[in-house]
Amino acid sequence: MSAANKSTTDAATAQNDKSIDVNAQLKSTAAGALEEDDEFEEFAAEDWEEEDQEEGDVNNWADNWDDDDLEDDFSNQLRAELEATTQPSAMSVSN
Amino acid sequence: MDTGYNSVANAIVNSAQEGFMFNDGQALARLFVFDNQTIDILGSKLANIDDFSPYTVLITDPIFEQFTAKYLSFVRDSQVAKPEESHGNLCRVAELFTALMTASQGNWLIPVLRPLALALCRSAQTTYQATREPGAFAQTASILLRILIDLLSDNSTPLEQSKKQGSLFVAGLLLRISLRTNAAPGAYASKTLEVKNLSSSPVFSARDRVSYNYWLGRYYLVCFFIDLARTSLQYAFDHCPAWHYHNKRAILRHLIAANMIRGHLPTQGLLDQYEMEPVYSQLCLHFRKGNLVGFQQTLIDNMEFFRSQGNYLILLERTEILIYRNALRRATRILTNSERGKTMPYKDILTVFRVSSQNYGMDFFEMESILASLISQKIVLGYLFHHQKVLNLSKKLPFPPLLSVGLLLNKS
Repeated sequence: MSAANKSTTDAATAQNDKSIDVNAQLKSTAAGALEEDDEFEEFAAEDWEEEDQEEGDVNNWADNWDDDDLEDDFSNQLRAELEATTQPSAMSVSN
Repeated sequence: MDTGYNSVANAIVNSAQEGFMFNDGQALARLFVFDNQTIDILGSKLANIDDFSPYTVLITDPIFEQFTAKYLSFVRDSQVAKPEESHGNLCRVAELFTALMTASQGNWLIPVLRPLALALCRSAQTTYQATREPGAFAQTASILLRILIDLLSDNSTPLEQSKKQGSLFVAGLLLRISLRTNAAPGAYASKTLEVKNLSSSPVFSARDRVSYNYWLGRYYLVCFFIDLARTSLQYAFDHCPAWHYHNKRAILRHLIAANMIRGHLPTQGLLDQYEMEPVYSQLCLHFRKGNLVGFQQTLIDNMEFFRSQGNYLILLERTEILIYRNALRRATRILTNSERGKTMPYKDILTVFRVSSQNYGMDFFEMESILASLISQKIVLGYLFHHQKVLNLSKKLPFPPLLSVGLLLNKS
């Protein structure tokens, strides 16, 4: 389980959040607890026509879970840190 | 105190006796109502009666007499009793009805059962809101369980005439209530699973099938039976009528959670169509990027929203491995132009996981455990060389596409 430890990359993480590429209409405020009214309601009607139903639309669910955009802030942070691991560490001089 | 003859009580009792004599469940359902508005009106008309036995004495069946008297008392007292007292009264009405059903043959009492059971659940919720004690839910669950046992025990008649016709509805309510009790998920729910084999029968209404599958899916999700949850919730979503937008959204909240645990994300089109809360788009974004801390922080920021649905912990815990997969894949794409693309040193992988989780205390041991889990579940194809401290990724398809991944989680 990952810990909630923060490091000096907090700023980069905050940048990640800001760069969320979502619809501009999306609100940034957190969603509160669901009220009872939001819960599943008992149907008043007993039955309905089959055409009232929407059979599973394959376009509703992404068939690909991969994201190939490598220019976002998270990818840039990852790139920077990976490049940092390739830098040779300072040689220690020993006699 | 009694102030003489009450025509309303007399009319109710006479109609009840007639309906019972002719096994007219529909007539009894019109008589024994449980909606608050009607109960308030009736209650005011019965307020002057202390004892209903002078009226119910003409009812020939002793259990039905007790049931009718108790119902009238419940209605009379509903306006003045505290929520927990009113709920207790309603429970006694339900218990007497259960005895009535046990003694009866066939399904003619089912029309009375539905509003009574719904009222019982509403009353439990009202009592909980007033007292913050979950005992009312447990009391209701016990009664519903007894009713369900009785319904399922009717094997003497074809399904079309059997008491089993009410079982799908009661099972759905029992699953709903059991989610509110402090009991282990299976304490009340095991009997409800017996109904599953019946649920495809056309004898049951679309309403009952959709409701049952929704609550069954919720139950499976609580028990971490992810694939079963997906199946039930997908059925409920597909067969919920399009015009019931409210329920479509209610089902979708849990279906998204169940599918996300399998790496199956909703399209933005689906989220827009049902105006889902923005948090779902945010979660999908972090999930795809492999940004574990972003994903978990989004959950934390919306904790009450997901906790109120019962999905907070399962989303927090069960998506982690897939997000690490996405982070690892992202890193290989970043490194693809270098020789380090297909063979990744442990130090690179540790960097990836640390950046993703912001857990800079993660060590090689923890990192290797995560890798081993990814490989054992075939989410990543490759080999670990522990002593050389490298991951050798498959040359063909190190990160198999979603549909070909077999995730080894609970299947039952």
